[in-house]
Amino acid sequence: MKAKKLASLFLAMLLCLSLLAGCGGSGDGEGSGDGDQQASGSDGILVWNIGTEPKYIDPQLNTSADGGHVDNNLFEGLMVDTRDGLQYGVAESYDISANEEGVENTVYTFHLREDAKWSDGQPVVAGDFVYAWVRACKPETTASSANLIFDYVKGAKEFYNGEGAIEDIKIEAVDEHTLRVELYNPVPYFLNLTAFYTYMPVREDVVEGQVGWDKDPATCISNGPFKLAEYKIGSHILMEKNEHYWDADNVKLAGVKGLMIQEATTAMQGYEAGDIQVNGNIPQEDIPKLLAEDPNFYSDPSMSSAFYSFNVDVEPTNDVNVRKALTLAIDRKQLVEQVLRGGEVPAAAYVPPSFSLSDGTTSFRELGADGKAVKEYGIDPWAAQVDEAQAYLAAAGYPGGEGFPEIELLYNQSENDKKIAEAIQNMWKENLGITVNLRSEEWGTFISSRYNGNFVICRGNWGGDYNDPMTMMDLFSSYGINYSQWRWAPFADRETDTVMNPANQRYDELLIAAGKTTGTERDQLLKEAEKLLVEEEAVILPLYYPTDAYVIDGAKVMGVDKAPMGHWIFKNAELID
Amino acid sequence: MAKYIIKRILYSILTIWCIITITFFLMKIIPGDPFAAEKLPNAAVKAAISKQYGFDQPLYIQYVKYLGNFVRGDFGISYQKAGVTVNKIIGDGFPYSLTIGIWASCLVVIVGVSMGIVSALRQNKIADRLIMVMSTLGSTIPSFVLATGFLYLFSKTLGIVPAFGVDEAAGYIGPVLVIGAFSTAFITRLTRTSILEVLQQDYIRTARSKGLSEFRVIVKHALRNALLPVVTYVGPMIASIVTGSFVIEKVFGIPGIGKLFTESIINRDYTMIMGITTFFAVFLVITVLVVDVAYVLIDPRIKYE
Repeated sequence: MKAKKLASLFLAMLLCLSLLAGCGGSGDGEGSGDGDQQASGSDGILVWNIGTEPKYIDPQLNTSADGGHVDNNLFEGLMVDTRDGLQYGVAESYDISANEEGVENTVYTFHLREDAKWSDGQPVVAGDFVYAWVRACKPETTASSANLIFDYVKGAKEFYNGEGAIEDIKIEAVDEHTLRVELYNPVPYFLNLTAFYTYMPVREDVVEGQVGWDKDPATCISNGPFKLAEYKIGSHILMEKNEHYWDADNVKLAGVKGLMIQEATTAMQGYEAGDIQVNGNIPQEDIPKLLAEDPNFYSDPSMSSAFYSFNVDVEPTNDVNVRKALTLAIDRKQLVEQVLRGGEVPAAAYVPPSFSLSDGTTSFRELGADGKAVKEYGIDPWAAQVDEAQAYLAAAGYPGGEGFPEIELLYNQSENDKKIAEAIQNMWKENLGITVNLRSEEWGTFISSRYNGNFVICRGNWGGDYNDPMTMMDLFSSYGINYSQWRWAPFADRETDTVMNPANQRYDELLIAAGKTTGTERDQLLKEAEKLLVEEEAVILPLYYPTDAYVIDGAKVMGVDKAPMGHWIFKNAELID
Repeated sequence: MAKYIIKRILYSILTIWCIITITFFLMKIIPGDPFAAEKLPNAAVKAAISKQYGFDQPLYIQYVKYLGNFVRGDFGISYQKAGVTVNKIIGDGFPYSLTIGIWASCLVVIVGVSMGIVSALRQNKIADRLIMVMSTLGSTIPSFVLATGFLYLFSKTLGIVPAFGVDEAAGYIGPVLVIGAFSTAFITRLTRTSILEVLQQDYIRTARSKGLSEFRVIVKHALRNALLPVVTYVGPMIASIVTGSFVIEKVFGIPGIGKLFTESIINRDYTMIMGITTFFAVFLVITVLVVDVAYVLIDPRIKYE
């Protein structure tokens, strides 16, 4: 009897659970047949791994690369930035003129193509851009990248700070197909900016008052080559060809399925099994083998820089000689060739070589005849300068490392950062005779510690938002995030930074001056600012220029592009039968 | 009986309230905030977001509001998966974790109990030793090793299961086996020990001396008593298995709810942390309640009081 009861209870429990599963299962089936889940190229759908699920798709709210990939394919700005240069997007031409005060290159008039349409067939009009740009500048929109608009568009900053009226933002729809924008100063890279997702159009009737509109295929109306067809949380995004797109005839794919596989090893197995055609989530340890063996593997220079930040407000890194000693005692060659092994380039400066000078073609970095990084700002990227480093340490009052306090190096929990930190810890021990302890923190805590200056040396990494060195340099201005706490004046956003560093004022001035000029004069000013940052003040310790590693299954797909900032462009892609 | 059940339900509610309260305040104590990102929003944006999510209000008001919303079944909007409600996130992901969990639970109970019986009845013989070796492996090899090993062998080398996801039925095999490995091993050992202990009891000797067949002795007398500890373990085990696993969902690329727990903490996604913790807690408390009630029904030695 008891056994029967036991058995029946167990069966009842299982029954309840399977009923629950049944309920869930039916919901799960909605809108996504098992058929499309199998998509792997045969039905014109390209399968790509996004990696992390984007926090936002909403172009004004997005700040991350993963959301940027999706935005670049769902939406289209006035211009489109490609590796072949800037191309027209919704704009079919533009004029640049002087403002009323006669300052040249401050007024942009864009002429929009008349056949540009939203995915529901409505025309894309100048008013949609006005709405989107102004929307980004409203603090209540919570657009973290709003500065990419209000730093340039006249009247926007005053409005953002609550000092100006919305009507005074100089963005105007002259007529349905003409958009006029006035800038504070000439901005040589303004056209590049209009290709960035913060500048992409959204429609007022779609966005206003709709929480989560961007993740619902019913409400996500977009104007790019693709439209949102399905959004499965934590699983995938399905983008279908937008039949109303002005250049739809040239879009070959029926759609793109973006998977959210975070585990790099799993994504790689999917690629190897032929289920994923495009994947940018590569296990670091696989890179040397892929570099050697897989013709479908690419390792492009990325628009980012890896460095360590010194806290310039605390001992002993408040002494520039200590900072220089630590900077010169590192063997970057060993770091990239033996520790990282992913094709990274050792760095002697901050702005990566993938950025150009004002001419748009020459690299911002000086490169040797072999195309490799050369000694800059007194830093040899290919060897440790032990003697010089020791001399600086002695000048700081610690000859041979004697009397040097034990300091901490802060980094976030990641296998790679741990390896780098351990290697550098050793180099400092051997070359300078100093003891540096490692402190690893979980991501959220790490960001908080770095923000509050709760470190002596910490890991830093910065990727550009737009294709101009200013996107890198801004970080260390007094109004930037400035990990190193290197500010000359108090900043509202960083109340914990109370120790002031006068040299930072000059850095600010150089950047402001660079913002007002063009050509070689501007390049000189930016380089001067970088020299101040890296050499004179040694606020950061350059480590290496990271790479953008990815695989494209060349046997199954062709025409997959990347924007200069690393975003995928699937508009011209097609599957090979 | 009814009195007992009501009492247990009240205890369960109290437990859930304690979990919510402790989690709520602990979560606010840990350093960091939801704004942790390489590109930090500025003060104005932070203030606007805080207002949107109610982070700007005093802690006790946030707490009271949360309890009020919880009673109405509203977990709020996730910060990290912006614009999507926590209810929808759990609702979308739970079926995956649940399906895997149910299959794994069946596997655990059927295989675990069977192997335990065989092992006990063949004590110290080859079958027993083999099963013990397997169960030791099952309980000691970390799940990420089992998962990657499984994928390497059955997906990469043999190509019989997909590399990721559960779009095909075959995709469930790996996650089910790996998530069930530890519990199967545990239940095997538990059943074995329990049967061996029961077989020493006087009533078994009595049953045997009555001349009952060995089969009847085992099935009718030994097994039903030996399985009591197993039932105790199975309840919370099912709760733990069907709510998913961070490692397994990551390695197999499954959009379940197991990874939400860790991810939400890393991202300081307060609404998600609360939602998922509360969901787990409610689920666990209900399963434990069911087991407790079941236990009383099965074993008359346990009184309702």
